[in-house]
Amino acid sequence: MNDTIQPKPRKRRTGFLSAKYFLSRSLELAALFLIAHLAGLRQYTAFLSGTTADVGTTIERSGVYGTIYIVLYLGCVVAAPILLLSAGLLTLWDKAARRG
Amino acid sequence: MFKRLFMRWEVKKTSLRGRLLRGLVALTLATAIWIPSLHFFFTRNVGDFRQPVGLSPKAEQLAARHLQLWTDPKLRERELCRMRVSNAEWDFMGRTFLVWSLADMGLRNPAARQDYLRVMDQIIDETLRLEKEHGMYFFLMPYATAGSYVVQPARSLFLDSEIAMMLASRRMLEEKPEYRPLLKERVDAMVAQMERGPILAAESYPNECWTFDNTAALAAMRMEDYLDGTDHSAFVRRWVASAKKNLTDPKTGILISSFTLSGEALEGPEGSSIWMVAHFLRLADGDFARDQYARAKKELGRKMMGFAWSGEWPDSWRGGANIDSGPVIPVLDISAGASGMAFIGAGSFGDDNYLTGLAATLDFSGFPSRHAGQLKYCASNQVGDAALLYAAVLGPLWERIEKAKP
Repeated sequence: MNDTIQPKPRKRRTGFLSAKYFLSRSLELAALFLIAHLAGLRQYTAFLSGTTADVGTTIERSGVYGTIYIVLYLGCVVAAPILLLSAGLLTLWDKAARRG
Repeated sequence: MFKRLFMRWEVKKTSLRGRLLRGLVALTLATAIWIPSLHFFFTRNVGDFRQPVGLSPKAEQLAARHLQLWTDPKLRERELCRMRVSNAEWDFMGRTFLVWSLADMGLRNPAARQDYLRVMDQIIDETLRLEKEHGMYFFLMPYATAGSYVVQPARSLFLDSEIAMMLASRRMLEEKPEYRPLLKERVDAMVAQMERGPILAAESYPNECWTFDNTAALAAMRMEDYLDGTDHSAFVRRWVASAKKNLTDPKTGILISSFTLSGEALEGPEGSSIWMVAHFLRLADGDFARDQYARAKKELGRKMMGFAWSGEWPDSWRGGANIDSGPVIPVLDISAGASGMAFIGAGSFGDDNYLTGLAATLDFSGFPSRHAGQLKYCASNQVGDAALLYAAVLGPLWERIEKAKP
């Protein structure tokens, strides 16, 4: 029996604004949007036209759910690709710098 | 030189400051690449939205959804209730936009004409029944009962003009003798009401006239002229002359959207009104209509990085968001209501460039939802989608009347 205490492997942290950091945030945004989409929040964006998602829902509730969906949608469609591109650019620079 | 630059990056990335700097530069570059490219993922050929002949894919999908609404009573009830909670006018306008759309669709796609006629008759008959049973206030916003109409007996040009256009559209697709006296009665009533106003305009709400409804009335008159050989051309010319004199915003040259019976402006030039007004005016005075469209495009049309939209107010007339404009996104000045109407203007005046940009914005921010060959925009509602359908198919009815004009 091996009774030596193995040190807990340290959780690798992705450096702030590093390629891995951008990639992780990008995937997180996409995952959050997917969850909101699968939860059916898209219907609540009807509040933009001044209507509720359905008769039993108040306009306030539609507004809250709809806003959450829109923020996550913009996160996925606008912010996530920018983060992904940033990760790609940083990786390319690193590679180019190593070769240099 | 590049080698030295990368070496410098390599050294810097070990320090926090260097890493932050690299990250920020990458973010800035990525933003500069992505934002101008975003529209490529939403821009389609204009034919995807609107085609010169036949029906575009989007028109077919939007129509399929609306036809289902009118064949499934439970679904229709749910949709109409959803809108009536906010605005009873939308229930009415959802009907009128759909009937006008079906008339144009019937001319574009004669094979489906009988299906369209069945739905058109169903909508018209139910609308007339509701108006008869509950009175005109059923389709008006509650403040209609807060005051009394100046011209008595009270009538709303909002209802009369659009019902007249529904009846005429149906008859233009295929004659229905029962509707002929109904159309005559509406048109005669509208002319009488408008003649009693000091500037040839009639009220939609108590002492509140809308250019939208007055121009819709002119369009209905021209449709009756086409169908029944009446002649309202002198009245129409007088109305246009009066509007140029009394209803034109001096700063933009655009017709104001609402005014008192005596012509005092209530709301100035408005995106949710002028695009449709220009479309109606085509039947009254083609040159004036094109002039109004060009001015609206200059003052309210917006385009940026492949996306297009409409503002609600020109820079020279600032107003707030209202039930017609929908929410207005500040800075970019995006009005959902005005942008929806801009589709109709762009479609009517063959402005494919603007229409392509509008359609890209719609697909980006309207949250389309497709199911079983049907399309709806989640951010919209039944009246919004019906207006989009009308923008996608309008044309054949107007062209017939324009060609027949003396």
